[in-house]
Amino acid sequence: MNSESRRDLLFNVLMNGAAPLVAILIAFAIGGIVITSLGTNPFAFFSRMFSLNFGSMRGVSQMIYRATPYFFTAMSLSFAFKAGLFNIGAEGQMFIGGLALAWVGFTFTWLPFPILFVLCLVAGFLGGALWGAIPGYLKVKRGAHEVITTIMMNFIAIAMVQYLVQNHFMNPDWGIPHTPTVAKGAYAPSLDKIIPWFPTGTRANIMFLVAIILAGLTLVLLRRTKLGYEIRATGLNPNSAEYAGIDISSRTVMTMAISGGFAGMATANFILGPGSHYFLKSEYGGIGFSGIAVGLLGRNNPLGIILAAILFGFLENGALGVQLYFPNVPRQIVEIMQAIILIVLVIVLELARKFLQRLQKRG
Amino acid sequence: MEGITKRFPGVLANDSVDFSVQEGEIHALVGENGAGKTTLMKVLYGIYSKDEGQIYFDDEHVSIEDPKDANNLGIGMVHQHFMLVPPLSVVDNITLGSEIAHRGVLDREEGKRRIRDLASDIGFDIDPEATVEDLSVGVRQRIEILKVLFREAEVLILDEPTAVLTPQEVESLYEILTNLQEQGKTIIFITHKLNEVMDLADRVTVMREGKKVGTKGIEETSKNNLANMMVGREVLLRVEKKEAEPGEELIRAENLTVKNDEGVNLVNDISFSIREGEVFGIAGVQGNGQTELIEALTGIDRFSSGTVEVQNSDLTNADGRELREEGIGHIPEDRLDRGMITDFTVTENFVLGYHTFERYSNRLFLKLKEMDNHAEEAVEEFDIKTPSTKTLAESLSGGNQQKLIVARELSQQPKLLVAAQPTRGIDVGAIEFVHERLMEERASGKGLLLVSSELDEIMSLSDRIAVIYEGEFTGMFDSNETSKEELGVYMTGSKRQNEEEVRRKALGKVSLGE
Repeated sequence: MNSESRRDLLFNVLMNGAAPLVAILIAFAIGGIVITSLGTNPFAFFSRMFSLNFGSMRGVSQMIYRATPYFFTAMSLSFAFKAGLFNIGAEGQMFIGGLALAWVGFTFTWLPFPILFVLCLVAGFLGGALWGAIPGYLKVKRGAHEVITTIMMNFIAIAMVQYLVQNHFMNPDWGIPHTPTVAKGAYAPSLDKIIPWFPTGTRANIMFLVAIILAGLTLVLLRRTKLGYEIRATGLNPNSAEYAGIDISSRTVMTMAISGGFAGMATANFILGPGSHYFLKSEYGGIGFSGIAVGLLGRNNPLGIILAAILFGFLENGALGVQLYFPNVPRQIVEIMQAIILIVLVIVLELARKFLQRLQKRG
Repeated sequence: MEGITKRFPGVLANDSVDFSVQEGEIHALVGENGAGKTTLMKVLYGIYSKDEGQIYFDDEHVSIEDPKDANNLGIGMVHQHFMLVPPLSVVDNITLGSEIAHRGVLDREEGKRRIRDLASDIGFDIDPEATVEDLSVGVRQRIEILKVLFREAEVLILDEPTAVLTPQEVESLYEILTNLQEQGKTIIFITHKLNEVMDLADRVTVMREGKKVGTKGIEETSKNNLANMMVGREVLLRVEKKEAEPGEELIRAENLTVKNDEGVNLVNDISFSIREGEVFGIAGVQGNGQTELIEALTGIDRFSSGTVEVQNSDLTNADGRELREEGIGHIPEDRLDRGMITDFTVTENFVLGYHTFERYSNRLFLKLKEMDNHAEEAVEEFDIKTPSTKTLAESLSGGNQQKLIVARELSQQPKLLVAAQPTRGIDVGAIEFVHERLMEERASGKGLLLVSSELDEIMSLSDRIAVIYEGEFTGMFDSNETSKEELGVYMTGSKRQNEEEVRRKALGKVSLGE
């Protein structure tokens, strides 16, 4: 191995491995301080959290269930990132996609499994894709920056979904606003139906595998197809892409659509998976935004994103269970830690970059 | 500087280099790309820390750890890429970091006064309140020089100062540097243009592969001598060009016009034709419509009127893909911002623009194996120095990046090659290589449209030369019957030939040289 590739390896290890780990450790340390200040032993707290997640296959399964939607919204961020676009709109795309897939599920109730299930996923993808394509189109046609438009589209989506559910899909007798339930044909099989040794009665479902398959397909798309080549070229250098005869406008819109499509499928885990089987807006808030953190923590790499999504699932699942044991620690501690991870990560990455630059200067 | 050694991972950038400059001289530092010139100067200016060696200033041993130390000694550097804040005014840019203030209140008037004085001392006027982003590249460079002088530098280092300038701007830079010398300043300038060395320098130091080859007084050397020192072998400064054997007409372009968004004609009613085995050169100062003409011709931009016919099929405003399929290759003038994607591998760059061709992809998938095989053959054939075809293009040197682009376009065996500034910013060895390859294309009956701001290049490669000025052809010449001086007169617009005659000659209706 020559020294250049040694440096590249060092760069990779530092930026993609060490930096996220340091960020996670610091987040746990700060979380521990907060927990201590609440009069609870942080080691007892975290070890309980750990055993709730990893102590049994049921725990693992619940953790996977919680991790799955983050997987989708993080892929949404990362895919756009590969094309040089910063899609902050996963939240809105997730809501639009979620409502679309629920609507298909409770409307075409006569369709059998797996036709309805697949149709629901397609609807979720298309709903999110539409919501993502609009900022892409505005960028191409009017030069509107996608960060601004995707953020704005989030608010529109949230209000629109709220309105549609309350005024069109909801039975006024129900206490909380949600849609009708989807038909059986739309149910996502739980993981124990597919993996024999998986524990029964948990909510982990096939959507986790769907996410993994999609991540693999994305890699193939970007690395091995003509379209992926053009998407990457457009993202890395639009001027050179233009020189190469690539239609950068259509590639930008398409990238945003695919990115939005991933986010649009995020809630299938809740709506089609074991559980209430209806669209309940209040249950999903923040998953799109957290996807940004998961994507960045996973360094836009499929394996990294799985690990990061599982970490977020770990925290969330742990927070739900640990409340029984430590009632004086609010579950929001997890949100604090998620935020700290992101902030520290950004700082650590910047420090690592500086360190590598100095290394280069020293030679 | 004595025994300066600087190592980068895998590279010995400076290998115990001795370098000395006398007070009040203009000293040129020349060498091919990657010879270690800039590294040596960055060590002197404190941007890089040296691994070994000593620096003496006025016979005193000094330690320069960062640019502040260098500034305190009176050493200033004008970088190749300007370090200005575009939305700020000239005075704010120059005083930034060494503001004149009384009790914390900025004294901009004093700053402006000093800047005007400094500027007039070296022979130009400047409006200190102008906003930098509205100013031309040449003026920005002057601001950089003023910035250094404002900090009372006695030694000025200029890194390839002429690379970004038009010929007229180069002239006035010469004047400025001469004036500075008269004031007793010491100037070191890095370049690989030998003309500049001969015109300007008192002494010259040549570097090659991180080592110093030698230092010479200007009167005891010559361009050829320096070129040999730079590359360590004989180089052809003029390309061997065989007698032209023009064949059938390849491309016929008539009345081409390109408008910008405001409706101004950037290219105005240009016509020309190129035959097989012929090189049609377009000479001109940058910014006179060359870029627009070429980008519209190669499908990046559009003509607002006019026609382009290639072997009798209409290709006016065809897109880049169609043009490539018709056998029209394009070496763009901006290597990094048009010609390649630095974060792509060598292989990926090798198919850029041709990735939709059947040999590199089917309906959906890229043929990665074929891509790689072809790229490897090209790396071999064109002697591109890269660890592998999977290396990212960003880690190649400028000359090798350019070779990669040339390799890509020539490997597709185009009928017509549009080459814009094909040797800009690359070293003598690579220039020679590119020139030879272009001449081989000509010999094999390909047509070539060459745009260059290097008159030497235009003169030695072209068969017919058009001069472009403000979007129009102002003169048509046979390369055997003109001179750099004559072209220069037309390039500045001070003379123009009869419009009809230019058009007729450019379209080749009259055989030239009769």
